[in-house]
Amino acid sequence: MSEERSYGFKEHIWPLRDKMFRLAQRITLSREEAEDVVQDTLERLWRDRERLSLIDSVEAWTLRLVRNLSLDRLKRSGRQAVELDPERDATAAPGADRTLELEEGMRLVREAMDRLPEVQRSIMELRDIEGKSYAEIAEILELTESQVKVYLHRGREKVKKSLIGV
Amino acid sequence: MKDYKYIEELLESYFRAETSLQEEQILNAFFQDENQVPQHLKAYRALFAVEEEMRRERAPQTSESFGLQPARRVNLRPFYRAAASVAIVLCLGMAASMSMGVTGDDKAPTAEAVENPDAEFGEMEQALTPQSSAVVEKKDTLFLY
Repeated sequence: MSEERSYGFKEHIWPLRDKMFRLAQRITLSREEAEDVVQDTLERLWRDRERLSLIDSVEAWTLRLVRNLSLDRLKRSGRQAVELDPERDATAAPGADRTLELEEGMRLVREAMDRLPEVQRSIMELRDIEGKSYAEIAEILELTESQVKVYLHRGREKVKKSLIGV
Repeated sequence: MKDYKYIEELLESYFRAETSLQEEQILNAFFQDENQVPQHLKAYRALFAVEEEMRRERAPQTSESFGLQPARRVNLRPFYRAAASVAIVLCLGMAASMSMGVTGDDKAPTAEAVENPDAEFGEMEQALTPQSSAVVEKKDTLFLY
């Protein structure tokens, strides 16, 4: 292994940990499982580091791997449906400057997001949190841009409906 | 009264997934500032507040050295300890042997004491040849140990 390869891993993969973690958490809905997915992803990429130079977009490749490993975990545990992780919700500490109304609205949004089908959740994560373009999301999730927009529209609409009643 | 038509249109486009990233940033910035959000749009603040909160989520700190070691380092400390132990045992053995004294009978015969030195040398050479060959053949193994 050359020093140059090691440098590439450190420079291009290591800084993606937060994005990996957020996407994994959005899919698995579990902080612990998300941590495991990040670890698994890093190990996998480290083993394949010699081939990273052959990949056009390392970030898209990495996030696709995160999604696949997250889905594998869900499949292995037989947990396809939504299970709210109390520990994860507990990490969302209430802000001192937030009104009760806002806190309640945020709780409803989080619950609505967690209830979305996985693909809508992942797309909202990649778009609204990570700021990815439709083309990038399509590449990561192996969909067309039109499909991405349709899923995003459905996801956002469901979240909106959860808020309208507030 | 302020006109929020632009924001309302952006919001509609946002829910139809027709906004650009730049337009979404405008919405984000607008809803982060509580004071400028009118009552009829306040409910949407929660959505952008959750998104902002999610953006701040970080992966737990793991060892910075993960996967970045070029090669696994071999810990040589046990080998040094073993070598030191062997050396101590050998020294103690030699010291004990010297302190017990070596009798004249145990001493190796000197050249003068040997009546026929050539024959004595031949016998010694014959006796040591197999051991010498074994050492040469197994030199790789010996080196590793």
